[in-house]
Amino acid sequence: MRIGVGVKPRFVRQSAPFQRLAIASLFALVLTGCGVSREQLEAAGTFGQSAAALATGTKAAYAQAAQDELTVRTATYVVLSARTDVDDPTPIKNRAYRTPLVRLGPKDIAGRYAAAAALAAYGEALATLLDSKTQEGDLATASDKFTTALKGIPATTLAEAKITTADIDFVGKVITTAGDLYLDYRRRQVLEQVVPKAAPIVNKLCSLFASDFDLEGGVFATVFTNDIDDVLASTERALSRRGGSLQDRAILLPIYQQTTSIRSKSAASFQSLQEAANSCVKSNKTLAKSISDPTTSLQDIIDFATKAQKAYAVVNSSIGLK
Amino acid sequence: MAMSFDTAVKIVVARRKLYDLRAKAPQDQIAKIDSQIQRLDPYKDEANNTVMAKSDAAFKAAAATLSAQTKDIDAAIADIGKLAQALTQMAAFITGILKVIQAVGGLP
Repeated sequence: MRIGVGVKPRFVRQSAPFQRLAIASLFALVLTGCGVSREQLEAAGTFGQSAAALATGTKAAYAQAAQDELTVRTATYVVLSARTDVDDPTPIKNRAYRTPLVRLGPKDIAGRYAAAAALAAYGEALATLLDSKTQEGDLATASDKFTTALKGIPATTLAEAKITTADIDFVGKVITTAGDLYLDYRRRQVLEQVVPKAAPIVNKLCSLFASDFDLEGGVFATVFTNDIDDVLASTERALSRRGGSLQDRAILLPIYQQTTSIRSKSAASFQSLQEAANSCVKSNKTLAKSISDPTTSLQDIIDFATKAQKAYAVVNSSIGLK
Repeated sequence: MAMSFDTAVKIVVARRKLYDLRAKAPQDQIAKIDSQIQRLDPYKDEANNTVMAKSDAAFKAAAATLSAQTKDIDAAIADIGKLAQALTQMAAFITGILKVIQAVGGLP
């Protein structure tokens, strides 16, 4: 039974290590002949991680606002009498306190939660794709299995074919190197296809978040702070009318303190999220531009990473996670 | 009749302006500002919910588009993974060939 053994040893004999290395290098040149540099791959990975951090912080801020709404709502009904001159218990008896002042639950603002989830998924997918460890471990394992299989050839057969153990190890290394290059090539290819296509929508999402958390007129930030200021104003009125009573002061001052604390913590969270979202808009444009122009400075992406991490830390701090 | 989005926005913005004014106003003007705030009180909850619901739609639409893009990346990650899979299959294939060779007594 002949399986072309006459050909294989000939190839091995004629392919000195430097010749095989030359072939591998040529293969590498072909694979790396793509416009995206290693720095750009790393920058895109950093952008992905930052976008995921921003999205996670955003989602946490919405969830915290829903919790705070409950606290603020309860306070509203404690100081209810201060809203008018008549202390009317009807709304309490009617259980009006069970109805949110503004609906902020996951089902009520499903679009915002979905937007945060989509941005997080996009960021995580980019980061996974560009993580140098992704698939390289699998590739090394596969290469090991491959060389192990080659080494399983009987020693006499290997000797006849003039294949040494060193030759097999070299083949394993070439496979791993070529595989790594292939992975990099595919990553670059995907980046060139996906980033420009996703850029307009990532821009839209980050702009929406930046606008939503804008303390100077953003929808979410305005609606939320309006209700907090409403309770603060009501508490101040109640204190000015009934502050002479120790019992009333003992109820009203802690409410004032707690509501003020919620306001300052949420303001800090919203501001840092707005800064990070604005930075996301800028760095998203930079990333998309750098795909077509490798000379583009990637500083905006580093700036975004810093701001996204800061926002994540501020939000976590405000909800007591750190 | 449901409140229009424009009216809801006007109420939300007017309340914000009044609270900003209240924060800076002298003490003797606070009561006047409060009386204006209280005029909007009966409408504020509906205004808040109308504004939030309408603006949420923009987020929802953007999220759906980005999710479609993310599927492209996930597919690419799976595609890249096939390289390692192919090598593993190739190794198994070679092992199979070697077994056949060994069974017939090695190479001629």
